[in-house]
Amino acid sequence: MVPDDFIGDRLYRKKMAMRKVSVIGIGKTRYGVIKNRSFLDLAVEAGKKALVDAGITPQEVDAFYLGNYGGSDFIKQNHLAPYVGSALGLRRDVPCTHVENACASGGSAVREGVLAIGSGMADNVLVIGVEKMNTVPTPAVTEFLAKAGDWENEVRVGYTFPSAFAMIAKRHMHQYGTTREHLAAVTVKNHSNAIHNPDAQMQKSVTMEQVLNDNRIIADPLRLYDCSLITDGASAVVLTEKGAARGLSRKPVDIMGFAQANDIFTLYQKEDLTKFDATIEAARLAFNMAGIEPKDVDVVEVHDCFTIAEIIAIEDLGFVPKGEGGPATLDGVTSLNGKFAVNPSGGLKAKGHPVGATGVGQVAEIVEQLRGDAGGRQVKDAEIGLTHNIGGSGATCVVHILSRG
Amino acid sequence: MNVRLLKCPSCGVFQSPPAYLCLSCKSEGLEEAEVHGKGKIYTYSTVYIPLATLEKEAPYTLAIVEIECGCKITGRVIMPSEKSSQDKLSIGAPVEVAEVRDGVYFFKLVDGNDTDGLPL
Repeated sequence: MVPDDFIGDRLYRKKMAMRKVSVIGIGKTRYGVIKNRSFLDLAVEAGKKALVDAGITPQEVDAFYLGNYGGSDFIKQNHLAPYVGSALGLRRDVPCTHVENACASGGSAVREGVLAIGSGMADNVLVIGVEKMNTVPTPAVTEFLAKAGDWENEVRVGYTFPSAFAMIAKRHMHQYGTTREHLAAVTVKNHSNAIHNPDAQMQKSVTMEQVLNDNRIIADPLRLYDCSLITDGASAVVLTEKGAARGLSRKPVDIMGFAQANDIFTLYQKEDLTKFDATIEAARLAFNMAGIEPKDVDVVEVHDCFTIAEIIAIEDLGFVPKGEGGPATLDGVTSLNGKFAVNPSGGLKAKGHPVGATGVGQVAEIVEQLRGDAGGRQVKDAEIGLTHNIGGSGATCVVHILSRG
Repeated sequence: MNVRLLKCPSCGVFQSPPAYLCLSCKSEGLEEAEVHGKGKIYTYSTVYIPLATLEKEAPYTLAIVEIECGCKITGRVIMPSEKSSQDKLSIGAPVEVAEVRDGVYFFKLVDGNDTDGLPL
């Protein structure tokens, strides 16, 4: 194992050497089934909105990162970053880079942007996350997504993503007594939050009874209401050096801490399926860098690709003790007016999960919350927020901690 | 029947492929080893919405099985047709590898006490 203080020390020193970073602009398209708009339309819309929000022109962008998972399958297009960058009219000297880390592609792209500014190589960075998934029938979507798992050793056996998380859920239920009611509480809460999100795919509430009585089993014990959505959409953020962000018309939001970690790739090789070591490690490093503790966080966007994933995320991130994620959710601890709000946007479950856009959209949501611009889903007096974005069955995790500037 | 695993020459821990070094002590030079594919279900799921390529076989049951040497392997469970036998499917249920088809393990439920042995 990694010695406890080693990476922390090294990162801390790096932080001291690095320039600090702020988010000065966000842009989003609606999330949903968007038949009449292309991949490029969506990416450009989100990017332009973020630049307008930041008050800078495309010519002022020094580096561009694109988070996307499945462009080569869903739209048969590769070389995606300059594909989008040239459509936005970026300068010729701007490096355009595609970042792919499965469902954590967006979070990883944001982190690359933070590093570009931190290193001094760029003053303004544009990050766009985009996915257009409703181009093929559901079985093909299932197959494209399965490529984020171990094809040779898992997918060939018959693994789908719902079934991987179903086996995780079954184990969590066995070890900690988590129930279907606990899982359903995640669905009910996230749908209830999404009603107040005009960009969400599912702006409708569901009751506990509806969820518990629904018999559409995807992979036992997970049913339709436990699964995130198949979504088209894009999100974008503009990053700049913290000092330069002062004096702009929009109130900046600062990046206090960030980290990315990995875990054993193949699910059955993990010692304990009820936790994600990449999350535990990324959280430890990000909290260490930010110099805060989980209790200091007011609002959280976690990666609820399945209901069980939200329960495990709040445990791994240190917000609740291990095994208490289900009961805490059922008790309303994570609801909009709870002790700490989880997924005020509606999360992947109800806002939607355009895979490569998700991690960028999470950061955009936290920025809206910290600016106080989140309308009906605003978390009162939110000062510090956290995003948690995982890839595959947890082999990548990216955490960002943000605060009001 | 037997399954093919990798054994760490340094700490003796068994692990399932793919592995290029020991996940436990990081030693290299793992050696091939064959052990009996008998163990207990660590977790499982019956899949109703499968990949397009497996549509004809759905619903099918996946399992991660902890075999007696302490290592986990994965495969599909051959489900008995009688309901009473299907009810035996649970975490901790004893199983063994019955066949290998195209490199995929197929487990069958076997009789045995599911409370002794491994700490599941």
